[in-house]
Amino acid sequence: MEEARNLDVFFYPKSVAVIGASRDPKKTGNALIQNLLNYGYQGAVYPVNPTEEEILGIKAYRSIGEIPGKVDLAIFTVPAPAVVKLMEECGHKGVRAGVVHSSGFAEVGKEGAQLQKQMGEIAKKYAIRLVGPNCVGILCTESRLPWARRSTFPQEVGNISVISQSGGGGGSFVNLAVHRGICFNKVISIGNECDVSVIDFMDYFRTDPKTDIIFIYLEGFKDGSRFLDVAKGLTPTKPVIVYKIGRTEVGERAAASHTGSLAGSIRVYDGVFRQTGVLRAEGIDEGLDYLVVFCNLFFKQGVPRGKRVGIVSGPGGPGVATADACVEVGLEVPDFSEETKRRLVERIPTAARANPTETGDFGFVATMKERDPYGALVSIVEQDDSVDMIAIVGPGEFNPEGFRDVVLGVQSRCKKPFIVIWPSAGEGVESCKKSLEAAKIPLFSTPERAAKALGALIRYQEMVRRLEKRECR
Amino acid sequence: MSLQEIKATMAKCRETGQRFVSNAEVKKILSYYNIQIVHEGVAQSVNEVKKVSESIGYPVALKIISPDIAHKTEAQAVKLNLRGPREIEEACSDLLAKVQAYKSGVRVEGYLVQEMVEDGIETIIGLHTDPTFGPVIMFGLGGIWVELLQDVSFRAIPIDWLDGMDMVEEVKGSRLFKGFRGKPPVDLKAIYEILLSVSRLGMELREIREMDLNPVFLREKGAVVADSRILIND
Repeated sequence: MEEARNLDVFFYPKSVAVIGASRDPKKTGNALIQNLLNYGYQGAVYPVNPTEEEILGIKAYRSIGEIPGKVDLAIFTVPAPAVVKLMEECGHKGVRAGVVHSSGFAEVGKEGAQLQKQMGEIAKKYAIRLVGPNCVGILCTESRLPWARRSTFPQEVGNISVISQSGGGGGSFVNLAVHRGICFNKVISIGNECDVSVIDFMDYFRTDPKTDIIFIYLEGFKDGSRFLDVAKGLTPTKPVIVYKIGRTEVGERAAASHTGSLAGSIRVYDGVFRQTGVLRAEGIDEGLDYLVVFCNLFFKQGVPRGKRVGIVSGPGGPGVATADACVEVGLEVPDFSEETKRRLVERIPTAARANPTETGDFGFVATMKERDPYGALVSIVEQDDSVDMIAIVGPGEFNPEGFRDVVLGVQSRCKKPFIVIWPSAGEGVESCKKSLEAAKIPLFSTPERAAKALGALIRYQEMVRRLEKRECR
Repeated sequence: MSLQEIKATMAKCRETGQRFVSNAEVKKILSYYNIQIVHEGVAQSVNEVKKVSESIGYPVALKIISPDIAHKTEAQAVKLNLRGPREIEEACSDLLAKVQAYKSGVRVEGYLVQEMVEDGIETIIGLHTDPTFGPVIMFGLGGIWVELLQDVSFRAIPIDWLDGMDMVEEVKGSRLFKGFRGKPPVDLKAIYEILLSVSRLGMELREIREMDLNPVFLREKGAVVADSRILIND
């Protein structure tokens, strides 16, 4: 545990040296300084460059040794052989941790692997923890420590942390997520894992009070047996969602048994994930949807007590489609109680008495806000004991502001977890969707995506219950 | 046979460059782990086959034992449901012709005579050494369905009883186990027991690179292995 907490320095350094800081806007060493200045990082920033006096208006140092204060974190953007040389200097300076962006290490072949080994040995000698090489860095929304990418900067502090084995893939995922209103806490591009590994950070997040959900963009684990232990300790309190690439790789050698030939990587991974309570998202879209449902429903509205969904729809078809999608993923769409049915039609005579219920009158759309049919039906359905959560299915593109306000109203009153499915598009709708996302409402554009995400939530709870049952034995 | 003796046997296989553990040794290993196998006997001649068949009781299944044949069905090295001495005679000569046609110069070490299991559902239980997670166990629908349906589940070992239950549940065809079309449900407890035994076997015998128990017949009472192979590490 103490070991894991040592990794704090990667997210909350009091000072950062950028080795390879540059005036050239095309270089990573320039982007990093710019990001450190623009993103709001509060610690000391030390550009290191042998020939420059200042970079982007702040004083540069010719070497690490010349830096007057302590250096917690050194970020390397210089070529691989130079990193190896400068690591020794960092050791003398007392640097605590390094993030090595530079490529040209193990990923390029034998010679690079040798350099990586050398670098690792020097770092170890001085007890410097390393992330990378061959990565795009670390981002922390709390400390405003930026990574080296030029576009994606999550502004709001969230409770999701990401570990990515792909710099590009992790970067685009975060970008897509930010545009979906998803908020992050820490993001790590892990690179070649010469020292700190994916599993080390998983272990770190287990005790990180700021992280509730872990998302991993995975190529493969280096130490599978340790993954089992760490994951089992993590998933009961913090959902772990994995997006695995390299699903279709063919085994290196022809297997001599049925078992060997069926043990393609993803089947074994899936088995181990079920064993440890980890959720695998089958695609990027699914990954984003899972995050939305865990972040905005599970951790904000509360844990649904079961898997029974009450559906409140404006239009008829999409309500039925939602019921189909729910049942297809193993959720239940129970019949409402007689009391609920009576109250629904008492309140809105055109309403459907069944689950899904619908407003049954398009006249409502124009006067949505005044008459609030959604709010009325939700307030009745949420009191039905046979319903654990509610799916609200939005109208078309007419009067989107009305629907937005109605949903915000539901958010302030509804006691049961709910999601919103709004299968519509267009300028007005998009801007209203943005407001709902900003208000942390779990919003989906299709019934199928919503149902899959809810299904994952239920699957997660079932897996955790099984893990806990084991613990008790 | 003790664990030590099993390990010694495997070491010997390795030294002599033998990749597969012989059928006789596999039987001993399985019985050490209390995994039930079908009644069977080895015979060298047609007359011996008849004798063994009588002691097991007709009908029997007859298989060719050869180090050169990996998949017996594919080589047509299997005859099922033989009901008497006449059928045994025909089957023996036919089997020899079939395997010679399959691979010329094929080495034949004898005949394996087995009790004919006619009831039960064919499943597969296997072990494999995964490059990431180490030894893993597999369960699925077996026999000739393995490759076609690929309806299997994996877990890293060791597993516990609940993992075993999950593995079985995860297989799409697991509905078959609950009984269908008037057939009785199979003995689920017996599957879990074999899975746990195989898990223990895999943990103790890390020399094994791959193992197939296929088919394992799940029956109304108990489960029994009808064929098996163990491949050891180089």
